[in-house]
Amino acid sequence: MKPSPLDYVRATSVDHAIELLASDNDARLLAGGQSLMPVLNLRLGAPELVVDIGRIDELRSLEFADGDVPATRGVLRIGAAMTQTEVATHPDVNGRWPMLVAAIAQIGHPQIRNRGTVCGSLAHNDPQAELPAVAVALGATMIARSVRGERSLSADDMFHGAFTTALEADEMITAVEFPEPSPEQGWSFREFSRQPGDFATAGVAAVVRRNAGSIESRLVVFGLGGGPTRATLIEEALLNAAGPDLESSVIEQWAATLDPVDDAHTSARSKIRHAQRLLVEAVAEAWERM
Amino acid sequence: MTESSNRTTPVRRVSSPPAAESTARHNITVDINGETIEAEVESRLLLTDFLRDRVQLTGTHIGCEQGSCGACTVLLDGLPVRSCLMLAPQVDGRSVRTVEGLAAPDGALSPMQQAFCDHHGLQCGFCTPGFLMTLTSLAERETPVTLNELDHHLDSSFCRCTGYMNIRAAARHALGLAHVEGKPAQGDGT
Repeated sequence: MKPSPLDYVRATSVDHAIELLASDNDARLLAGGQSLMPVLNLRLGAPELVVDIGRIDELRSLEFADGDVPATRGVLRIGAAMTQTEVATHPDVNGRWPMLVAAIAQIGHPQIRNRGTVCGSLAHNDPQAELPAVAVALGATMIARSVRGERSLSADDMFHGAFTTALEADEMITAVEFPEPSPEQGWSFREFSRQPGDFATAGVAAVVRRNAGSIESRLVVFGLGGGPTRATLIEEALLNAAGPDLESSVIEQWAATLDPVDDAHTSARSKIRHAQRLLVEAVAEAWERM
Repeated sequence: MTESSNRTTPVRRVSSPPAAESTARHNITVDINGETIEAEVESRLLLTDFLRDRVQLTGTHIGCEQGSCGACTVLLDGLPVRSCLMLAPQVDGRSVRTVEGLAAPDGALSPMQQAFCDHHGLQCGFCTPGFLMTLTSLAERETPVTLNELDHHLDSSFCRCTGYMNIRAAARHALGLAHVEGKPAQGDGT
């Protein structure tokens, strides 16, 4: 057997799961398992207890809440046991949250998305993962529960460095809420990977919209080693821009703030070049859709 | 599901080695290729190893054991998944289909298997079960499959002998896409 010896418990409710998390500080949650299982098989991690939350009924939900007044946008609430395939193939998600669907299409392969969950990817915060970047770009909110209570975490506060988040060890994400993009909002999701289905070498999730004469944007870069990171220098440069074309000096200034490391496949320099190109393309595409 | 799910099949209990560790074992009941299988499994036993070593269905192959190569792909409640990325206790009460479940009871190959034979879609055969399970899920799906979608599904398994083109030809024939124009998809468009 490949994983180290462990105990497995299938949680029957969220209360059950958070009690198990609170009682054993070497417990790990198993939802889709598409990140945890490789870690266990390679023995990069050896938790004593694996708590399976994949079949908890109250987490198997996809809800659409309409805004209270016409001006408020709707909200998509995704329960923690919903797979990426289930979310991306829902017709309403496809029509109203196109960036989420486009990003999910880039996650691994169909077999991975058939098991992998949206919330699991957010909780894991792999630096090369698509969904944390999308959560930041779309201003998502994570709902976290522990025996101490429930709290909401904005995407801006949630993601720290690689594989680290604001979640406490005894907390679990029960759902994520994505506000509905406004109709005048443009978006783009682009990533480069060495071959289809591979982890991203670099990627960009971009949202731009006009607001009272200026351009508000959320430009999120991922894959470069840390968690999802906003390109604030570029966002500021776009504030009063008349078009999507960016000054090369601004791009170079922003690129100088990036700090990826060389890996077996791609040099740090090459990663920065990919990120620059993807950002320029994403801004242009999002602007066109605005 | 297969025809066999309509037959009343006896429950088959598969044996497990004596407990060698203190961690919990689980009694599971799984529908495998239409047969009800009962077993007591270790918490950490992978679905792949359960199928191969306990149920003696060795058609599901072990390649990378980290979800990349696709050789271990099986259908879980009809959807293709990596069996190396699941624990055996997770499939309790669910339905698993492996490559052994594709041919008819009299040995007649499924249309996808026959297409692989007809188009030289396999050589050493190591990756073949994974390809067959993924492509069978497409063949049995109600909504039509596009060529682009087929190509993205072919990305999901490694083949190191055939060069993919014969697998693609076999799948196109079995999926009714033989006459659809289109070059293989290039990358992910960035």
